[in-house]
Amino acid sequence: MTMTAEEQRLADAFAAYAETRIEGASEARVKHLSRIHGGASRETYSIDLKYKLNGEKVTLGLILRRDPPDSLVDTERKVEFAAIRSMKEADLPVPEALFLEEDGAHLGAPFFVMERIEKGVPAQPFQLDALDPFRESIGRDVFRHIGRIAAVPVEGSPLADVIDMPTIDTCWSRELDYWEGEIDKHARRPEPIARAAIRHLRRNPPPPAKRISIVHGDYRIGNFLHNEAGKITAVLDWEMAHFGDPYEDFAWVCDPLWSGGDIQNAAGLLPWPEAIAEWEISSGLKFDFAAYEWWSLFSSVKAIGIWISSGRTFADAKNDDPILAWSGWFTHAAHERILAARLATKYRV
Amino acid sequence: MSDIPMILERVGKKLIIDVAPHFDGHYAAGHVTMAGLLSVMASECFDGLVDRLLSEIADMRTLLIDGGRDPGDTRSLSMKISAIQPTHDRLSAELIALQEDIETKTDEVSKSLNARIWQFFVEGSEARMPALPNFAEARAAAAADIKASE
Repeated sequence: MTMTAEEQRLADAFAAYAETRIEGASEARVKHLSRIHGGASRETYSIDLKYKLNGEKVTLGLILRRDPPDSLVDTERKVEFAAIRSMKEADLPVPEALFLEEDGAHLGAPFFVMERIEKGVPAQPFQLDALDPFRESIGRDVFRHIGRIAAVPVEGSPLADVIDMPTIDTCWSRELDYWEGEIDKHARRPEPIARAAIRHLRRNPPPPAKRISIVHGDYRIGNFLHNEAGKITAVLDWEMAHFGDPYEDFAWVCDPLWSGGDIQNAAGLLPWPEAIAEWEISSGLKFDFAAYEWWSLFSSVKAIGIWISSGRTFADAKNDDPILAWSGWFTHAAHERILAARLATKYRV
Repeated sequence: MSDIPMILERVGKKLIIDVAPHFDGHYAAGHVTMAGLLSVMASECFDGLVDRLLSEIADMRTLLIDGGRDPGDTRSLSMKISAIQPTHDRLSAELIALQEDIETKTDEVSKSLNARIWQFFVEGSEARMPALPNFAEARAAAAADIKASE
């Protein structure tokens, strides 16, 4: 498809920018630019950049992540950039983070650029069957990666330069405070189920974190690429990365919404004992059900916080991407149902 | 023709099955599919929305009275959603306050009322949950229609 006038302007501005950032590059031009759907937290573009380097023609596949007018989650791109760099240093499958620009002078909004992973397709949320017959091998990669992320040393990591670190006693309350604040700020209606869940979580705190680790914050079906033969080729979408309890990622990927309702298998992918074993080996931690249980309930509260924010953004006409309306409606309803069903059993229902 | 749910459902399926594929590979394909999906969901919820709101208002009113609270005037002079929703919101806020007050009490009356509130949450969240449209089935039906017309 041909580029729109707006896309052409972006392509020209990007080519001019890239030429200044790639040492020795000349005659840079964008051969192809297309926006990728679904990245509601950033505008995401796939770009083929052509240029000359020492007389040789070079083609580079890039991903541009530019801040939108408003988004599903409010995070700084430097956090995502630093998180990807932290993981690259630890040899996890992530793209190379290349350029970060925090002002809008070049492309009209802050942005960052990373390499495009050429080998891999995204796994689709709500379509786990499409992963067959490689569901289990992908599941092993998922839990191995989550464990490896939890094992990356936090001190001295690029992420430690841009965000602060909670203590082992406060990471749960910090996260809960944050997401309760998001619900306070963005809810358009009273939220009895979310409020009851938040009070339950405060009355029943988790054990202290075994360690403070880097948390991806949104590692789930849909946020990684796989090679259609059972291997994950890249872990993407690090915009919600932070320091915290390793159980946060484990619980998030196993949330029933991402698991297609399959509670017999962890994340709908792998028998629980195998998932736990993969995670224990790669993280060096011993699985603690009490910690998992708290973070699992928290995941649904956090999800409701995200869906409320996205619905509010759509309702206030700050961003008219229909995926925000879908999130504010369908997924919000799904997580209310999940929370109500799980918590009701604790109160004699 | 004022059969709104039927119109929304048909328009939604048209967008998903017939229109979106023409934008394959383009960002607009995602927008069109999502718009279609929302239209199908709206068609499903349209018919029962007022009934659900009124039923929940009645349930919350009972819970509040049983919790010793005055639910205020819950009657509405209009059946418009815009007239009913504020009453629903007001009672929801009252219910949050009631539950916060009783949920840590250990007497049987409070425990029983809290269990009834949770039961109300379970039933309400079930009723609010839209079904995920079955696209495979819809595409198969569309393909069968096309074959039959050939």
